[in-house]
Amino acid sequence: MKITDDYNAKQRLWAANPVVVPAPAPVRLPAFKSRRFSSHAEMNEWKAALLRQLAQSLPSHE
Amino acid sequence: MNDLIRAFNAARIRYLLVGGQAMRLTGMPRFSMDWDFFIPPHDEANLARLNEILDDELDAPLVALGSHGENFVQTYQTRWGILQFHLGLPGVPRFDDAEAAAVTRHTEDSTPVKCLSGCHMLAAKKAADRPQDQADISFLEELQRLGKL
Repeated sequence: MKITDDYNAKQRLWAANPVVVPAPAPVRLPAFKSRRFSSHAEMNEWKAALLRQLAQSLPSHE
Repeated sequence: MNDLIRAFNAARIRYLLVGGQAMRLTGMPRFSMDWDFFIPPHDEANLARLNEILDDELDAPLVALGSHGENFVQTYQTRWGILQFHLGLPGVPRFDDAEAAAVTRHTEDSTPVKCLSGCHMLAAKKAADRPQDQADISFLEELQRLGKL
């Protein structure tokens, strides 16, 4: 079956036959101490910074 | 992680799995680097039981929601992975309501996990409405259309 020009097609295909896939283990996460946030916006800002740090720490593929 | 969830269940911890891992347990093939738990914001006995179970892994205790909204989300890096405890959730006004509607899903190892219901998950995702929530919303709406939510 080929579906074209429909970005949401994959969600429909997954929903038609939901399967629990194993969770892969995150690797190379920077170590950090516990954090307390007063809002989800504050937490999302911190998480974005953590992901940038993770991206910067990845080895080059050159 | 299964060990920790089984410990939560054995200790009758009041928790609901939310976020990306909850989406994964609904059957969406999705990655998440953390485990998000919605917990009641002022249940001191629940917090004490959680702190007892997590004791060796926490560099600071899990605490109740402050009077000015502080401690709304508390994040820990542990041997089980990153744990995030949410003391409130957009689109889901009260923990008690969410708990009453909770569903039990199972990990790939058949560990039962108390999860936010699909309807509440959809409400929370729509309220958060971040770019990364859009695929989750699309998946949940399709489940709803199919009568599987």
